[in-house]
Amino acid sequence: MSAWLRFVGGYWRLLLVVLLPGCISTNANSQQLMYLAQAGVECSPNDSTVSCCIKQHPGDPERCGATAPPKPEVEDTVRAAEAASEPAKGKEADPDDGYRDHCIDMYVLCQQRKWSGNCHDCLRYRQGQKQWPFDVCGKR
Amino acid sequence: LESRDWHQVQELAKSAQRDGALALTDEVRDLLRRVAREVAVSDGEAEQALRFSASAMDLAIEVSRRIREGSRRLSRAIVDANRLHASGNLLGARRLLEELLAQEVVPLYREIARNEWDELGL
Repeated sequence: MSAWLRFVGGYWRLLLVVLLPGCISTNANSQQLMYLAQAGVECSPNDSTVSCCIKQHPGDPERCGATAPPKPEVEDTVRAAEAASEPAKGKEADPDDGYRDHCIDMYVLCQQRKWSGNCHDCLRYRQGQKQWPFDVCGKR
Repeated sequence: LESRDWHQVQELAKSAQRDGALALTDEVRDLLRRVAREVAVSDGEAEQALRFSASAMDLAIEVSRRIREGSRRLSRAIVDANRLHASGNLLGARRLLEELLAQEVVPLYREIARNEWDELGL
């Protein structure tokens, strides 16, 4: 398994790209998700990673060699997405370019590094506040 | 997750900015004193600020800024460093974290960045 695959955490990343609307917009519909998944591609010409492939072909993950996650994990992630809070508003809200990928990458790192705290809760906080709560999920 | 100190200070700063004032109770003083220390505001500076509502509000906003900007800086650095590492650029990955360490003052963020630096060196 390549280093990149270890980093993105295989199907976890795929699962979140497809099922985590809060990382894009809490009101995004599936069509918007597909569009954004494609519009958000930032792959270099030689990028042959699973992550890039999934972004380019969000509706066909098996084409990228990704396998489906176990059902309980799908349900957990769907519940997490449904419980996502609204984005923060007010003076402290400022641009947060690339936050869709950041949601996913930080969640995967949280799981892989075995950071303290509940990675699902931290992901939801990240979605709402546009910042990762390192005081909760960051240390081991 | 919502009841922790850092989140409370950030909410306090938001509401103070919205209302244009901060109610400086003993509880708020204790919270700000505690979290200010955690984001590397000196005790002397914090005590000075906590004498008046207006300066306490400025302190809350500054503490909140350090939490927010540090978090975003760190998450970007960690994610980008892992990408570089995965592509075989270990030096570039470490440099990103070193650049962050050169400017980050919040001890928790520095500790996490150092852990990540160690992780990428394995």
